[in-house]
Amino acid sequence: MAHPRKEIKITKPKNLEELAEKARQRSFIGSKALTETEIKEKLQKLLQSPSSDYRAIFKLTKDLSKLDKKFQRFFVDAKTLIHLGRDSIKDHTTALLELVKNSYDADAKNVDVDVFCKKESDIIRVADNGFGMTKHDLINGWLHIGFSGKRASKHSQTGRRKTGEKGIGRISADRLGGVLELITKSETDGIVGLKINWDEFDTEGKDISDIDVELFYPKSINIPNKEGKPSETGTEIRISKLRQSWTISNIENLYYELSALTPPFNEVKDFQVELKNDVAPSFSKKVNSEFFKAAEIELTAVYDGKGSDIIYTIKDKYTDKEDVQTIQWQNLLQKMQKNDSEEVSEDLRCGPVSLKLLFFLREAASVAGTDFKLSELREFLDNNAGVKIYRDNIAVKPYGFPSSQFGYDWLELAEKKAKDPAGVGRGADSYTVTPNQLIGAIFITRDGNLNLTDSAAREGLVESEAFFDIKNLALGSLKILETHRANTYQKSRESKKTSASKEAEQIQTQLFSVKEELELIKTEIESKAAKSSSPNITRSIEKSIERVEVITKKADKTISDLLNWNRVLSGLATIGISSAVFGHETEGSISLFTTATDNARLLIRNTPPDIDTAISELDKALKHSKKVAAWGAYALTRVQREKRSKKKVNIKNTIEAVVKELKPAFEASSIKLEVIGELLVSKTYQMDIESILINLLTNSYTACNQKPGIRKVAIYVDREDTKRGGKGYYFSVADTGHGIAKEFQNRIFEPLFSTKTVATGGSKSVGTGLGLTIVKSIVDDLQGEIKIDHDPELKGARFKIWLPKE
Amino acid sequence: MAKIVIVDDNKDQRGTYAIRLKQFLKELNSDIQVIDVFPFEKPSHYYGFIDAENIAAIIVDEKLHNDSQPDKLPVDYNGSDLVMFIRERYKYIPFFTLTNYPEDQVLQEKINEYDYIFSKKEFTIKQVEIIQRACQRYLIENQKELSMYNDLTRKIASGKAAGNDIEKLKALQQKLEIPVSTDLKDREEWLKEFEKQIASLEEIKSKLEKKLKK
Repeated sequence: MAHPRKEIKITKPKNLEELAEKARQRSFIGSKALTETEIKEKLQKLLQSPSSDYRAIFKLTKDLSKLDKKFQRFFVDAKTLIHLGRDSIKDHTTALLELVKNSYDADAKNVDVDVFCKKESDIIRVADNGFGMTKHDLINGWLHIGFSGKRASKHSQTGRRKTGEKGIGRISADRLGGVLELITKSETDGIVGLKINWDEFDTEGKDISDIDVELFYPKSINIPNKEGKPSETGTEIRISKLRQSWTISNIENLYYELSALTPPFNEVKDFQVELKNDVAPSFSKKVNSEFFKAAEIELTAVYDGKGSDIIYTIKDKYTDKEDVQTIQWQNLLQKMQKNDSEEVSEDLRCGPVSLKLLFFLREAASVAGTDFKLSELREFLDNNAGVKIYRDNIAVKPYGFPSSQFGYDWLELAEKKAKDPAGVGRGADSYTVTPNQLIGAIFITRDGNLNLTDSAAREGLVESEAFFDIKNLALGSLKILETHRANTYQKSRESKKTSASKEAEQIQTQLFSVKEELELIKTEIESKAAKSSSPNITRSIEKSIERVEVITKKADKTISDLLNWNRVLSGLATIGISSAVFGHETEGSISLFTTATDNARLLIRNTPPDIDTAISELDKALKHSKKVAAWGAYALTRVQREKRSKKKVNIKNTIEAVVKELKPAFEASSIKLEVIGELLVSKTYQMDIESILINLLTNSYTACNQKPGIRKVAIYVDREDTKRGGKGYYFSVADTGHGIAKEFQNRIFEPLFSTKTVATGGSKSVGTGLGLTIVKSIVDDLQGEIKIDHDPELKGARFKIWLPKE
Repeated sequence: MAKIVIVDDNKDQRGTYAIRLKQFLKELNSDIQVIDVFPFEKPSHYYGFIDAENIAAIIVDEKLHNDSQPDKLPVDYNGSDLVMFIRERYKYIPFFTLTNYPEDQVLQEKINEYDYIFSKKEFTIKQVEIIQRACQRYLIENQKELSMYNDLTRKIASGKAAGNDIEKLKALQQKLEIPVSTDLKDREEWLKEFEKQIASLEEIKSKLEKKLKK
């Protein structure tokens, strides 16, 4: 093929004209305008020239090599690099994270991440105190696209497992901004920098080797200190001409992604990131994970990769004990109630794994004793909840990432909860945690878990058998956590509860002991003062003791006022509850009273008047007006002042008086009320006895009404001493209702818990869930006990209240 | 004579409202009688009662489960349970509830089953007029259909059934809630079947005689 020949002079360009000419000549060379001999001649001249034109030499050499008749080489379009960088990175947050990951791989202890985009000179800066790069590393490594030193050496100098392998993290910088400046300082070399204008790559048909990457040698480098001292090594990347503006939510997302980049557990505590920005100043801070102190339960599981034993450690806030147990894989699967048809294996095939689960409550009590607020904890949980998989201590996306649509709840906890939304009070069998209460980490390694490989889609692992083992291990561990939570829940509730009277007693004891100690000091000082004749000291001590006495009396009065107040409130609540239940009785009487009176009026007006029927109607009206009046009296007598003080009370008489008042309502429902027992007297609060009894009778009334046939409520009163010799008495209330299901017996005293949630069948009332809570609180205050069982005779529930006899 | 029945477990209540109902019906010149009953042990017991007493309307209290009588225990159903049961057979019988709680949730859920929900506090001649009109409508409709039913059964029994008389009778049986006989045929067919059954009885008789002789 013939090509036009042209003679060209290759000299160093001096001005713009020469530059244009040179470009023209090059194009000719590019289109093979020169023969092989001509190129060689030109090349020789260039090499002999004292000022080396490296660009021209490189170009001629490249063209010369294209004349090779035996072998040819690929050449790469510059745009390819842009595609690699921009298209393989999801968004600018991920791109920035890739750069931080490089800092982690470089053994950096600290990384500064700055995002300033509000000023004219917008900039993103990532600076670390890692090991830095030599000029040789920069040219032969960093500029070598696709090369990754991480493939040759999987671990960093300090033993960190490196995070990337593909050698394309550096191109992600193009996603962030048009110009990149990298300055680095290594132990052996000085400071060296390079500058890339990514926009030059974005030209159609331009060869990658035609782009110049400028090297420069700055005098200083701005990198974070290392252990309080200026770091000897490190790398600073500055990206300008930002491609995208950052929003508050971008920064927030970046912060939480940074906090999740490394595990929030002790394993990688030596890696700290400090974020600074001018978009969301509240996120300009050290990325930290202090929130983990607020966990209610912490579970750790370790599987060493051999056999089928998994070692569990569980700690919780309530018992403050560490429970260690070994569970076999098959037993764990049984706990999860996995059936044979599901994807389960006889042995774990995933290799060594360790797992940590932290369970949180979103309650104010969770942040007690920590530095942060409840709103902060909630926000943290909203952003970080989920069970993540960490490979070599770096999170594998998308598992457990709140921003990931499918990966967040990869264990399908929300679906499980939706199917059975049972609360913790329902026990371990049906209680499940919700995904937003859980932060978990599953630790695997690239070398130890060879069966857990990356999926081709870049995010996530291949769903192999080993992956399902990991998933089942997480679910099994979760079941253990849920069981633990359900079991400790009841205990924690009980331990939290101290009755008001006990608490008052404790305060009084403490005040008394302070007074006693002061008395002792006074005596001692008096004896010393007598010798040294300094009465001033004694007088001041005496004054202090008097002050303590006054305070003690005041405290006594406040406490007794509060207890009294509590007693009145319980009594009033009891009236409210019983009125709601027996109210229809009053309502019926009122309507009957008015209708019967009106009937009488109509009957008398008839011609001839029906006097007998009219009188019978008036009798009915009178009878029902008395019923209404009795209900009024019932409410008034409940909170009488004399019932609120502690005095000798005839228990049986008190019970009979209450029964008499409630009898009409019971009789209207065909319920026979019976009091059996002997007269006994005890020093107590009459109002407390009445409140207990009314609440129990109200429940019995509802229970009886739910069953047809014979209805009866029996109250027994008798003396009963404890086995330890404590003197006391009891009264029990038994009925012919359906009784209390065993699964509810632990829960009936919880506030707002009620078995009467729907007004069905015989019962038209809905429970408030307060009656038995009041009963329990009074009995606790009186230092008594409650027992629940089935009455052998009446077949319904029987509540037995034991109280100490004073 | 057509009757209205008041069903209430409380003796005082049902007595007083029966007196009131009677009084207003009298003022409206109605000859419908009023009776009051304690709830029957089983809802099914009402079926026979409605037919036997010629009940033209039922008034129930919602709460039926509370009270008892010397010889009767509390029942385990309420007014809203009873209406569902009665409607299974008597789709058109006027059914009212008279309650202290007309806003009761369960009652409101079944509002379509009732003709009206009345409050005990507001039971005046206006309400009684509504009940009376409902009774009259029901009785007229029922009587017309019953006489037609009588005519048709007589025709079919005497072998004079023509055209679609049997189909008409079936439809009426269904409307009047009279148990439907699925093998309703004309007289001739029935006689043939009857004779066939007599023949088979004769056969059994001769077989037995033979055995006895042996």
